[in-house]
Amino acid sequence: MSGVSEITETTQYLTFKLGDEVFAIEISKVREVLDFTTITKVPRTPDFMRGVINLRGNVVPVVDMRLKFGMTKTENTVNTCIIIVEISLDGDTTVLGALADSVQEVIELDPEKIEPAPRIGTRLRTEFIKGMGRRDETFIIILDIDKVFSVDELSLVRDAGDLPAPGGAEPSGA
Amino acid sequence: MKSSKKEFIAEAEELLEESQRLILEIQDSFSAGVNPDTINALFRAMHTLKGVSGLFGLQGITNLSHALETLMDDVRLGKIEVDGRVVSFLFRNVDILKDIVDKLSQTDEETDSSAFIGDIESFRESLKGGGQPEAGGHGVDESIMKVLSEYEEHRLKANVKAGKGIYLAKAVFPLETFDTSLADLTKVIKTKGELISTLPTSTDVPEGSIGFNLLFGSPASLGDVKKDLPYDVELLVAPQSEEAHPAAPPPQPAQAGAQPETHLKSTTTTVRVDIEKLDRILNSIGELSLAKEAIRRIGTEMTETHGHTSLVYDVHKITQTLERRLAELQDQVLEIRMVPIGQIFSRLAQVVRRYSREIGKQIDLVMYGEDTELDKYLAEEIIDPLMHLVRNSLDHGIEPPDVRRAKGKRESGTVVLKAYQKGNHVVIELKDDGGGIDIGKVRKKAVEKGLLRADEELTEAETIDFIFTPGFSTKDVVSEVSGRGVGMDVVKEKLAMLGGFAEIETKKDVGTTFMLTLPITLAIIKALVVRVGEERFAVPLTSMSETLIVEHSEIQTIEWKEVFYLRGEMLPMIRVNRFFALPEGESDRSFAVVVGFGERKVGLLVDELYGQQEIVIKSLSEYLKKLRGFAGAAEIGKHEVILVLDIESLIDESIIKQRGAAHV
Repeated sequence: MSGVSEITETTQYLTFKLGDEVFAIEISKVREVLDFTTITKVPRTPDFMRGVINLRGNVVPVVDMRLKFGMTKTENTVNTCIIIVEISLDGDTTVLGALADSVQEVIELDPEKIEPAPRIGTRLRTEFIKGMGRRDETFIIILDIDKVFSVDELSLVRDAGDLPAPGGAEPSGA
Repeated sequence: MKSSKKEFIAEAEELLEESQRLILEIQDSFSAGVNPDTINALFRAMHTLKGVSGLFGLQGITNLSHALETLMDDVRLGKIEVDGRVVSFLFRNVDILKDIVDKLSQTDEETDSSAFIGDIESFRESLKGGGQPEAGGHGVDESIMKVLSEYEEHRLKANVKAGKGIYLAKAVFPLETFDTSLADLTKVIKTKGELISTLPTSTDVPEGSIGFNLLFGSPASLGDVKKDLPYDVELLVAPQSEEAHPAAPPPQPAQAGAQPETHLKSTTTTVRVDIEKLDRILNSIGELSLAKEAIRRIGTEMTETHGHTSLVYDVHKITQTLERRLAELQDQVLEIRMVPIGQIFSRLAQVVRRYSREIGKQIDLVMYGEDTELDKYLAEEIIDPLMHLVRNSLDHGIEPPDVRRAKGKRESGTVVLKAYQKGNHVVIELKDDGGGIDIGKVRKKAVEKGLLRADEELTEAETIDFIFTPGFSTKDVVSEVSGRGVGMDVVKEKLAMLGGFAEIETKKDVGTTFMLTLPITLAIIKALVVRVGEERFAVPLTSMSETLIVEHSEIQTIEWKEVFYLRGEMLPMIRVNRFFALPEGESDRSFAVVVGFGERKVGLLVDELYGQQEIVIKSLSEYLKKLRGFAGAAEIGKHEVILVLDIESLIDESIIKQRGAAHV
């Protein structure tokens, strides 16, 4: 069996920044990282859906992680990039792009260095967070990327079609 | 093991499907005399199935197909005469085989078939001798009869019995080319009648040549036969009404009549390919086209910077070659994907046959245009909606026999399946001569459901369209099929997904016709690129009829609908910017792209028209699949993505919106 990494005690993560906060995604979920490119807007979708891009002949939706987490819209800088992730939706694998301010590095975290998500003190919904990692003095928010793009977001996409799409709505508000 | 099992299942399914098709053919023709080729083909299909299942050690399937092969052998030898009983018996047993194969593919276990084998045996025994005794005095020389196989002898006698003449053609061909020459000769003979036997001979044959004696039956006279056959033809038995000539003893054949053994080796040269692999090739072609565009651009830039040097000329030339070859390649791949629609029609025929028996209605199924070709993917996707419509016609369309009698109709209902090509589309028609859709009931239901105000005037077509509304099921009108939980809305949705649409024509007590229109192929289409606000969209040319310039002052509002009078006809307008909540255009004149057909023709108002372009439509990712209004996305120019409008859903939604507005 090739291509599937063994599940070991220590897991590798890709870290990226949204504003000053550092987030991490399991490296097995990450397919590649792209430079910022032209994104084609898709009408009647929530603001955090920035649109679609062409990835070697496939259409890939791109989500603005900052907007998704209630921050301001991602500005395009030299460091802005699109992290292409593979998520499972209803058991099917789907490829999505996540817009991030910058990509940091690949790190290894031992399980004992990871603490459960705090109940308060974060603007994220706790189910989005797998745990809090720590590296030197920085806290790293480890995301459960499947949950972030979970199925109820899909219905959000659909509902938004019927609404006149109010700007800047808290996506996790419902 | 696993993949080889898959291969077996695929092959078995194909053989059984082919068998069903053949049995249908037999069913249609047994009263007038079945073509012996059909019976032989069915015999061979069973023989092949026996062979391959034996190879995989599937004893149950082997035994069952062997029993059926034996039965078919008796049929082809005329020991059993084909009648309705035999046909339905064959159908039943092929169904049993199908079930066994189905089960095998799901559970990996082979069902015990021994009980069925006994049935086949006793059925065969009960019919044996049913065939009429063959004429004894056929008048063909013993020396010929001696070398014929049992089957050939039977065919010879059958031909004599039918009053046909028996001829012997002697041909000598050079060894190097005898195979093609013989094939040509066989073809000619088949136009005259039935080829009974081909016997090679070495008597009276010069060195380096090979001779053949071809025995055939034909209703034509010797003179007629000779006209097209530049060979030595001898009359052995005169066709009825003609004097028999004495038969000359034929030369001794070199190879005494060994029964031609059907081989396990397939005689076809076809390859089974997963459609996904073809999709991948198309994807690659799409990418190559983009690369080609890039080269063209570079060529143009080079002309600007370097002028018309020979190098620049070469680049242009090679770009053209590349373009031509790519177009060829694309056409070829698209052609590979095409299948005759008869493939799905014969599956539907199965459903009709089985289902009509279940519900106790007599149905005559008539099929036209089975040769019409359609993209394999589309064919597979359309079968479920079609199946649904067929069952619907059987359930709700065709009345029970007593009702039909009371109405003065024939007791058995007729269902017509018809396919034909219309421009870039394939139209599939499903027509029944049943009771038709009760428009009054549909209207009443629509009012009850709050979809329509009681005083609102609608045309018949608009009213009937309600049966495509989700949740619009009235058992006594149409739509819901017992126990399936699918409605007409599913049919419509599926069609829209495939870039097609459905129309209904219905007349009380006369019947209903469903017309499904589909693009011939999904993969690559021409599209018009338009601008709306700051966005660009692609409109598939297949759904477009013309473009107009429209002054906003010329748009009128009638019954909450914005319309434009185009050559005296009212054309509803959809403002694409409002539809997608995009900013209003700056000018007070727009372009209208006229799309849709018939009653559903509308004008899409856009700000600007760019050019036409060939695009490869890609689906819009699982994540966005619920989003309506887009058929997908395509790549144009330098890695840019453009959204492709889904015309059908646009028309639908704007109709709903306008209705909604009407209620406020």
